[in-house]
Amino acid sequence: MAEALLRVRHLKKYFPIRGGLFSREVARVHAVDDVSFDIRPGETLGLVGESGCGKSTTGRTILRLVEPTAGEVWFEDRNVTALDKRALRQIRKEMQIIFQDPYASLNPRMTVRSIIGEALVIHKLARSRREREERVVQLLETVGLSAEHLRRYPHEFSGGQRQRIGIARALAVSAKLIVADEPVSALDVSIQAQIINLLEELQQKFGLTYLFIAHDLSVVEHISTRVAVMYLGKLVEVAPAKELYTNPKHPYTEALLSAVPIPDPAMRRRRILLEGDVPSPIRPPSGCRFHTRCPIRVPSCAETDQRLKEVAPGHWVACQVRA
Amino acid sequence: MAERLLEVKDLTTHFFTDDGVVRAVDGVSFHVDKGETLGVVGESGCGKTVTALSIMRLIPQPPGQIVRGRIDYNGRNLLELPPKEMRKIRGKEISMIFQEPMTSLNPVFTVGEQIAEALRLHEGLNRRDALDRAVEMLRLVHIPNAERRVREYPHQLSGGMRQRVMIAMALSCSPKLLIADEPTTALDVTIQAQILELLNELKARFGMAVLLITHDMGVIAETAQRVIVMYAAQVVEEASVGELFKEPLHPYTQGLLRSIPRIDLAATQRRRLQTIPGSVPTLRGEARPGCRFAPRCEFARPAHFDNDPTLKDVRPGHKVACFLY
Repeated sequence: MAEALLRVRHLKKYFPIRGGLFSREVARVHAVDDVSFDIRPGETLGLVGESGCGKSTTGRTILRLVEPTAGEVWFEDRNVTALDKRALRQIRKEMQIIFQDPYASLNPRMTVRSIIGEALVIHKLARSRREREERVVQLLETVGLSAEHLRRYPHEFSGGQRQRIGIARALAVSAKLIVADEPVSALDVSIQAQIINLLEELQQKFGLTYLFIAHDLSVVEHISTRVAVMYLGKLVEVAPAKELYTNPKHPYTEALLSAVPIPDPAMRRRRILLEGDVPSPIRPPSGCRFHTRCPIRVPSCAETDQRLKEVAPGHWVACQVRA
Repeated sequence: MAERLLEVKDLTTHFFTDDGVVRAVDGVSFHVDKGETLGVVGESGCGKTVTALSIMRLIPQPPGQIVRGRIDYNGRNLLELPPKEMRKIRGKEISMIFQEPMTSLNPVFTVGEQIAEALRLHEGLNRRDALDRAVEMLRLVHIPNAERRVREYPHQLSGGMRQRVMIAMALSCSPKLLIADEPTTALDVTIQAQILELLNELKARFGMAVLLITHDMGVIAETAQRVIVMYAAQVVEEASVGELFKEPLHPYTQGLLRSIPRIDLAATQRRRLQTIPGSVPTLRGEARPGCRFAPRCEFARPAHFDNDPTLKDVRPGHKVACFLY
């Protein structure tokens, strides 16, 4: 098995909630709570979960766009969590992120030429103006745009095209790892398919590795090599994509999969309806965090913390009833 | 034959903006039978929501205007009703729920007061009785601790709870038609499943019809009996759910169905997603002749760019607006 490109170990991120006199810390949001996983070179790890489960925070903490509370992130042989500012900037050449809403992540007052060119300037990747220009055009063509778009501003593009610009910007610095945070959620289905295909082509062409964060299980199934399911700040199941979707072990994964509406009226399935809402990450339930909604819980679930256990090669589950 | 509840004919709604006319809905016709769920599917900007708002006569005027067409409800053309009569229909006969419940709930009133308002207006209940009914409605939509929740404000509720409150409000006067505009789009998938289940349960209980607007083919497949597919302000296909998914006729419908990743096919060979090239045309400016899908259609021939296809029956209950049929 190939050496991991990215290793995340016991990653934690707690956001303080301040209030009262002197803005004391009165509570903490347990956004990411002891998460560990590996991503191998050339693979796509899908990270799924519902809103507020900590999947985006995980992605951002890995890049140190958000500083972790505890834990380590290793990129190849470098400890990202211990890097100083300068070394961090260096490593960001190799780790990039694309966001859900490309409009919010593109400066509206910059042309496409400067948005993509900026990365080349910062990382000194072009020797002359001409070389930079050529490289930007090349990048635009790679993502299916063209030189005629150079002078345009983000608002002149459709949602799908803006996402292409975001991808071109990530590619400008020859990244190895791209954290894609809900990259197609804001797009219409016909455009969504175009972007998914583009991401797959680029992966083939440049040997990219993706951490693909999304709430849409169908999209994640399609694009991922392996999938990690997250609930209230913790990973509950990690498995190869096909295995996870055909043979889910964790009751939360089961419920999640059964809740996805299938575009085939002839198909009738048994749906597992979960009771209630996701509890607050400020005061997460004790023991297994899913026990308050779990259809197969036993009394001890409220007491014992669950760790990921390997039930089949590469298939990890955090559930004492099932594993 | 099923009884007609609502019949929309040649509905055309335009917005007259400083940058030109936006033809948001352009000659849309369809019907809803009593007790059925009609799905309206299409991508953003195709006119789904404006169609719904036109039925409710909630189009902001100006800049919007319903320039043509009729909407027959129980033998009366809603577009000709005086505002006072329309108010009796809205919320009582036809109600609507929206995608983002937080923007449709008033943040400074308790949820009980908001549900009670409709009951006092339409059913003439007094304050006390209306609040009691509000509690009953909250129970009906399975909100736990309804007696306590009725006194809470919208911000105290989760997204799923808020959507339940919206549904309770919409159903408080037992409408004959519920228009649900992307009711689950803002919700997580497990909460979406709860809300869709609730809608199905309540629909059976009240015998109401539902006009369900969504971009999600999966939601359509699991909840609707018939579907209309909209593209660029027009209806391009109409069929029963079973037939639409088994045998979609319009190239747009076919493309749409092929471009969705399918979780149920996880066990089979991975395939590349098929895409529809290009993007949705703008609805702003002069009306151009020709099939609106032609620039993205692999079957388009030169003549298709000059003439408008009409929506016609190709088999019983299955209509399509395409020159290929």
